[in-house]
Amino acid sequence: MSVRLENVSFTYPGTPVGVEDVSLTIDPGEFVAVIGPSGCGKTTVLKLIAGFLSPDRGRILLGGQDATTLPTRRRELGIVFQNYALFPHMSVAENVAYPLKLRGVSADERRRRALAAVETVGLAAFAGRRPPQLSGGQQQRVALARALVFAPKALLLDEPLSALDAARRVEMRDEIRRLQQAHGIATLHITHDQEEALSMADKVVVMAQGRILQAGTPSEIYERPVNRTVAAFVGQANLWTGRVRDARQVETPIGRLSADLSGYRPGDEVCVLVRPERVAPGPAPDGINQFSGTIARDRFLGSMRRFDLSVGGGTVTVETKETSRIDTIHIAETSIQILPLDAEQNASETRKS
Amino acid sequence: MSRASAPSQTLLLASLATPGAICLGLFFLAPLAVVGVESLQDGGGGFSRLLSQPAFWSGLRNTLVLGATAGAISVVIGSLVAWHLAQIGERMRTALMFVIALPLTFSGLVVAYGFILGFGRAGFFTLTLEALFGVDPAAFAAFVYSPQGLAFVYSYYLIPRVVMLMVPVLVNFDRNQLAAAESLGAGRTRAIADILVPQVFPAALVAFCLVAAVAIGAYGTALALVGSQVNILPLQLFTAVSDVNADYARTAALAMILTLLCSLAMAVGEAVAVRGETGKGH
Repeated sequence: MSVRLENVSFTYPGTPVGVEDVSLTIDPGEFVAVIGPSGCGKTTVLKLIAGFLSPDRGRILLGGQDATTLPTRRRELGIVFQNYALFPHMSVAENVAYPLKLRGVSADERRRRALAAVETVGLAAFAGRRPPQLSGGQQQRVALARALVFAPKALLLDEPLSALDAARRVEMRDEIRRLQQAHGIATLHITHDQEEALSMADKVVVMAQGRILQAGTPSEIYERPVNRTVAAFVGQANLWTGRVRDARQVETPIGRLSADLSGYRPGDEVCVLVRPERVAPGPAPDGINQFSGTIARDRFLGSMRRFDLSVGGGTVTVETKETSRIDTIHIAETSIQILPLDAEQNASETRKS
Repeated sequence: MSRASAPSQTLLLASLATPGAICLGLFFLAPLAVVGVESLQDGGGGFSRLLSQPAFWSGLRNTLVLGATAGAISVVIGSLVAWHLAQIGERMRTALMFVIALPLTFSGLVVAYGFILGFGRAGFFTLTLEALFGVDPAAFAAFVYSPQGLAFVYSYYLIPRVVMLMVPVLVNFDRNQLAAAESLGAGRTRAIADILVPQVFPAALVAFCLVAAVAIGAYGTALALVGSQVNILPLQLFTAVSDVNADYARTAALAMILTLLCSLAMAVGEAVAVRGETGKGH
């Protein structure tokens, strides 16, 4: 079943905070991750879909039916909360059986189904325990089993991995994805962890200041960000403010770069994006976009190395497997993306000048 | 940092506990022992004489009803007030808790006179109700001097105790659980009944036991309000100790029974609290 938001706006009473004109579709079986900095409105989107908040404008459709004014309990949505919100006075089995109890399923049947769901998440041996007796990862699994046991129309995950340690987080990503695919359920995953979003989702939605900036596949978001904010939030990025010199060259703090500047006029201010892994160590065969400098910071990251090279008035961040000393790098023209400056960035630059 | 040795730590703890132990011994255990010995004079005859009097049994019943009624009213109202306080900002909550706790500093006599001034025959509220709605002052004022009125007045200083006990429990209650229950299909009332109530019930029961014990043992407010018109054990005890020709063994027996009642109520509360703590986690 699909979830659809049509031009939804909401403002928290007495504040300017909320979401503005949000349109979003989650198709059946699709996993959509919403990412953005704290306060960008991503949890508000979840609360609106869940029915915890009512939109000021716009419509929310569940399975094509208008659910804008439907109370939470009638929306048939499985929700996993950030802190799991398990019921501490109930056992694992009772927690999972609770939605079935509310639907009038007989005691025997709900016990059978609850135990089956608990087994699906690998916690059969813990069915009789209370939530406080479980680890964070186990509580997470119980919350998932409880959210899925009644075959909801969609699954909403509100930063469910944020309370776990790094190793458990990676493990749970696969677990969540496995369960989501097994149930073929439309899923909205709220997270501030861009790596989590990119690795799990079919579609990633980037939000800032209550608005959707870009929605697309993880690779689209990473490879073709629409603006500086998206580029900066998703993955590592070299972002320089530059001034267009002509159709082939742009002036940046690290020096003059050759790039495709079609569509821009000389004198235009632009944002220049180069992903660190697209910067090549060593001199360029043709000498174009080649820079030399000194390493300001060098980090060993296990499978690769990330270092900052001080060049001219700026810094170039480089990711490479090369371990030898490097003082020259080059950037292929195809690795350079020219983005329009965000309105806010533009204003900031104007103020500075 | 070096760790203190076990014997010296024990000595330190013992020295810290000594002032409290002296107070407990001098002002509670010793008098209690004296009264206990007194009550057992002539082979427990005091108890026999006390238990054979119908007035004792009706007084016991009234005392328990008063304790239970005032306790129940206070727990219900106090829990609702605490629920509201738990949902507001911390600064406002602290300010309101300060105001709510004020009645705890008043003596029972002051509270009683306050209610007489407010709800007595010439009380402010009584006269206001007469002026606005034509309520008969004599009939209205009779309420405050009745056993029900006594429970109402007791609630005035029992409710703050309940609020103090319930606020931390409700502040710590994760309200996402109610949202989770609603998302799973429960209505608001069902979510509260299934999720909130079972979790706060032990604390409410502890609060009930505590305030019921206070209500069972209180006499100052009752004395000031109803004199000897209402037959409750604390007033029986007050009358007996005021009588120079009193049967001391019987009076001591009455004191011991009243102490036992209050201690039992407190013990039940403590047992519930301990059970609640041990049942929470590992």
